[in-house]
Amino acid sequence: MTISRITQAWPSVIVFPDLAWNRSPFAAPLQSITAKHRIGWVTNRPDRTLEDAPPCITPLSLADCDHVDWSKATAIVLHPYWAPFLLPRRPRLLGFCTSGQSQPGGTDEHADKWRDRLSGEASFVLTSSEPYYLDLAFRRDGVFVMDGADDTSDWFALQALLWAADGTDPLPLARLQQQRREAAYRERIAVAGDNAVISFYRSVYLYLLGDASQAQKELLCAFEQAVLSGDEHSLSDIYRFRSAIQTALGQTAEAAMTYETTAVTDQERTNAAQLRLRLEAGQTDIAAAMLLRWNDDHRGAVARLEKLLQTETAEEEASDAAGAATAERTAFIQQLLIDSLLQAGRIRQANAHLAEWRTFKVRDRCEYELLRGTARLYEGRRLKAVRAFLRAAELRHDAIGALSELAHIDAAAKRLAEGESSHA
Amino acid sequence: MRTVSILTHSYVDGYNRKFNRLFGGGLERYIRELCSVIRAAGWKPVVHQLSYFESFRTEYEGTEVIGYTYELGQTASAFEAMAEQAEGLLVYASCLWHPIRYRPGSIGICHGINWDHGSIASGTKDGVAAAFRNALRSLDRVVSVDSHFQTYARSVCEFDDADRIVLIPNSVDTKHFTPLTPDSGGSLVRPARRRGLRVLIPRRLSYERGVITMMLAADELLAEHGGLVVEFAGELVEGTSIADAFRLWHDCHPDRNRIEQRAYAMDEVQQAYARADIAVIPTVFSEGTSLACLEAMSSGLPVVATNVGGLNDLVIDRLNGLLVPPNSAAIAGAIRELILDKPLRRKLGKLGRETALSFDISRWRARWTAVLEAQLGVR
Amino acid sequence: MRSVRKPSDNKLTVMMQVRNERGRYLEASLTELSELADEIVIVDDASTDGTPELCRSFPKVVRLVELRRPMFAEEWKLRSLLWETAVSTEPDWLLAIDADEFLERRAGRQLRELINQDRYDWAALRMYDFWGSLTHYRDDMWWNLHRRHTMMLVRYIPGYHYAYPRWDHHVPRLPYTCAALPGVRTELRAKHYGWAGSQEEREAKYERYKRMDPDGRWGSIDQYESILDPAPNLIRWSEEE
Repeated sequence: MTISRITQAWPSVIVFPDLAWNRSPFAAPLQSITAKHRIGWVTNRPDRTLEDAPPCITPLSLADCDHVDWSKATAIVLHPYWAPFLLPRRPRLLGFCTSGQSQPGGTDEHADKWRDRLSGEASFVLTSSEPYYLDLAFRRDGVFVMDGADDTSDWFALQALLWAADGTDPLPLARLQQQRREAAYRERIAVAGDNAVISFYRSVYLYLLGDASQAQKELLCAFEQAVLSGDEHSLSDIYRFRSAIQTALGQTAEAAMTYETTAVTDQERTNAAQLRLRLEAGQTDIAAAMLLRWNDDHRGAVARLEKLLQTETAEEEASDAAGAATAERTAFIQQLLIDSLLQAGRIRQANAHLAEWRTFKVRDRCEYELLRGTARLYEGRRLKAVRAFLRAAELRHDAIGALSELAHIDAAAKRLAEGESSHA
Repeated sequence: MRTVSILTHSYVDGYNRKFNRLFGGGLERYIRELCSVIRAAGWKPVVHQLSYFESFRTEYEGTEVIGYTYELGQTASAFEAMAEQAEGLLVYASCLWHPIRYRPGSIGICHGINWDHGSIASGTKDGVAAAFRNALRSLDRVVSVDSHFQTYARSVCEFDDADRIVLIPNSVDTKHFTPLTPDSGGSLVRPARRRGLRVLIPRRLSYERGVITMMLAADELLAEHGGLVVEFAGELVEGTSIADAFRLWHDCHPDRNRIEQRAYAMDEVQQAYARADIAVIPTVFSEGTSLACLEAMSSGLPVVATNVGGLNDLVIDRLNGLLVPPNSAAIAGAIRELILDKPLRRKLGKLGRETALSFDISRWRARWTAVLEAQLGVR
Repeated sequence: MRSVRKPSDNKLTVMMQVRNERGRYLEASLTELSELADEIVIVDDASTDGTPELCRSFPKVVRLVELRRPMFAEEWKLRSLLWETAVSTEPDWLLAIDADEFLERRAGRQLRELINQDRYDWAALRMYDFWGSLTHYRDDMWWNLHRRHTMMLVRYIPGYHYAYPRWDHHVPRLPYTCAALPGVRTELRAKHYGWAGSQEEREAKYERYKRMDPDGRWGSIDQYESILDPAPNLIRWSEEE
């Protein structure tokens, strides 16, 4: 039974599901929203998908979605394959809930990629995996975790959903959750004593909260514990992060030395040499951004690079004598910015910068078209998206995979609406 | 009666286990014509082919066809096994890029270069060169269907007999594929005056045959010309990434009612030429002497072709067709010019037809007969 | 900005802690180390036999810290002090060696080659306990240090996090966080002459251990007892060329 357009208002919270209600891992937190809001559940087969669902959960067919006023609706997405369908509709808020784990069995090759993409585009993300949570927190703001580790921490996550249901961006709650989680780790250390893993996690939270100096102390503790327990990867897994912390503290030269100390592979050694060159040339800000990137802090890197780019462009415009060196620097900053935006899943922003970037290399032009296509897809300009993918495929045969992928996702979204598994 | 045994990897449809019909590709049509040449000369053709299923023995149009099971990846030894069972003069009609131990006194056929793309690994290309060097050393004659393989073989292989390679370009039945003229009679009737022109792409839809480039070119042209119709006359294999791409494009295209796609049976395909105003052969790589191009030219259609492989043997730019590099911008530009320039279309169509006449099938049959005679005389 | 790892021209600094070594092997050791290394740093743990004067007589000894009160009972403090003193001289590489330890000839010859590269940051050798003579080493259940590796050479990386465990005894000679860096276990050998002297000297050491650590908290009681083993398994040493 679908909602009549004329007689009733649409629910203000609409869920795009992954599984039937009685099997979805996110049913429990969603249930708590129902105290205040009606929830729409997108399905063509409510008999299959909403068995045992409470009465305040109302089915919406795919066709109904065309009539919803999305500017007044919050979408909660439980499967990444809804992205091409939903993003162009521009809901007032888009919350993505994900376990963060790779699909079991590995049969669904595109799911991880689209999970990361939707994680970048959503207004906020809620995950049940702490490692994935931290990974995302290094790429964007507005990330929440609900993992049962701590009641207060979970409460913040639930509040985020409730705020979103009300139409309020839950962004401010994210930092509060981080503070709670850092405190929880501090308590564990006080009780259980030194432990490499716990200290490392606490250090990461302190870094995210901006307390770099305490983060460094905790990190060195973690490092000592790891070495004592014979961890063979402590240098790259733990110690290297010190270079991010030192960068945050403004100690870029020290950070570069720390990074170089941990550089063992050829690529890492090349990176370290590049850092030295940039520092010798006085390009401390660029070196800082590179260090953050190599520590996967793309959120931090983007913030710095955007500011840098503004300064560089302003300088270039002010001075007529902008030479080749300035041009090289600006192009380099732009390249780093685009890459970090991509790593952060911010396709549309990356695409906007790419428009100004000229390249002749076929591989780059192909990547450019693929990116352009994806951005168009998010905007709902499907034909332009397909054309961009075709141009990419004309340049390189293997880029045709982007079209197969889109066909696959379209089919999967339909299956999800039918209450079937997302992969055939 | 002398026997001529043709060894091939495919003739009757061994892919789909339909042993009573031919697989619908160029190679199979070629062998069918060759069998006809052999029979006409009073010899007995026998076709030995590989089977993906069980071995079989059947007859097609009076020719005995023997199918051999083989192990995937063991093509060379499969051909050697077939050669052991085969009698008379052996014609190795495909797979010359494999390291086959050829029976002395035999002939081979190369249907064109299919490794002419920048993205194919040089290791692969080196392997192909080695295989052809072997073929040119061991076979008495290698028949090439285009000048490109001939040049390739001369520049890569060593041999002392200058006639080792024989160029017998592919052919077209110019009596069957004819242009429409007021007095041509017959059952072909030009349909009533249409709003716009019809552009025909008479190829199977695949990457190497340029379907992607053509889709991009079509996009531009459909937007510019309100009545234009674009017909993809070829097979679209479901479940492939090309099929995904085509369907996605077609389904979201605002002008999808002016984009047609269908597969024609071998004896229906002239209807497609009859309805069309312009033919496009947008090959990206892998093209011998294109049968589709010959058919289109023979039908009097002005052709836009890419400068790939054997297409260069057929088309001289602006004389009997338009020849462009294999990218969508160039193809679109050439088609655009023809749409706007009726006299040019007529001129190219007329000279295209004359060109086709020198590729008439009677010449092909005569040359093949001569080659076989010479070889049989020698043995 | 110089690279953290220099592939050539590395300064080699010896770091050594001493206590009443005069009259034993110290003079021979410092003579040899003066040939092999560029600088020597010593911490003297309140010697009473004129050891510091002997140290000062070697020009390559660039730092000598003389403690008034002994620190060996809080070994981590002693080790840390030696480390801090050594790094204050801006070394490139450090050789941590005791006054009664000697590198085999081959090791001495290969030292520069070992340190003049930019791939690894420490090198470990096999340490042999000579027993009762300078010709034989002991090899049995409790005396088999040579079957493992002992880290003796490290590259000093300014800014790296070096730490010693806060133990009173058996503190490693080098900060344990060195182990996280890339290193190499060589087949080069070092000779420890601490047990190479007379039976009386060994028995005196035994007594000292039993006094300091009667319950075997810092070391193994069985190992202490094995010092008195009347028939240890001894193997003749042969110097490689």
